[in-house]
Amino acid sequence: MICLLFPLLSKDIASTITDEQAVEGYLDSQSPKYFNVLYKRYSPKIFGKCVSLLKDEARAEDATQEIFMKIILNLSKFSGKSKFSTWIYSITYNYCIDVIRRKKKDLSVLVDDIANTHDTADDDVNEKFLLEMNVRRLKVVLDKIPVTDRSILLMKYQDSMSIKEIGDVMAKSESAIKMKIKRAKQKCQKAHKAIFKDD
Amino acid sequence: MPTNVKNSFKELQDEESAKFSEQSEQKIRHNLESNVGLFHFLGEIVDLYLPKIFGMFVKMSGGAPSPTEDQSNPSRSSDNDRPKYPNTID
Repeated sequence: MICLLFPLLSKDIASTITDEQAVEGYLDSQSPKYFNVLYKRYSPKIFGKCVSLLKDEARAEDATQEIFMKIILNLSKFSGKSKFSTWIYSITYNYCIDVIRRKKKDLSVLVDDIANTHDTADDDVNEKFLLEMNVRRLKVVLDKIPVTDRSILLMKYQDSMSIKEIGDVMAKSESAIKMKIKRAKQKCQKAHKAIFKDD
Repeated sequence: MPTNVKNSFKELQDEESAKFSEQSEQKIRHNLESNVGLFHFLGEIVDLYLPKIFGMFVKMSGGAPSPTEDQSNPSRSSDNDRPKYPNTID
């Protein structure tokens, strides 16, 4: 009602409303203004993640549309137990992993490196090494590891998700996720060494 | 993880998100609106016609009429016992 009386206030809705309020508003009224808030807020991030995982902008665009369709259709299932961002990122990661598995295009995996990773599981990779890596190099390195490892690293370092949240997304226990993170970091280090050995 | 430490993952996210053009945003929004509109339309069609179609199948299979039809039907067995012209003297 306030928005109808004072149209200027409705423009401000995007900056004042929380994700959870927008979800509630959309479910109650089906008004597109609430969905637009969520779309504006998350579409670039979801697109960015799709580009990182699918490595193709055209496919990432299609994936973003599909993911938002899933979000609309399942919005009533969002229980509010986790953050809204965590919920939509979990849809994004699962969708992209499914797409890659279905198309079996994840051929960039360093098969030999993965096989050898188990032998060196005791070596702990310094987090700083990954976080301070040059962005261009990080992109190349992430492209060389399996999509599940890439997703786990993005969840941890890009989305700052907790081990429990990552475990919920990947349907794995917390200890399994800790081990997967450790292995993913080792794979990154190996890939980095293999690609940039001259530096 | 301390917040003041450099995080190349976040930088990568900013870089990838920046590729999302205004044109792509509009295109996806338009497609979503069309899809949602179609879903609403289909939902309304189902709401409107499904009970009628269901009722038709029930009738075709020889099922009992629905309670609403039952109330509107005057030819009940108890009615048949009553005289046809109650106010006339036999």
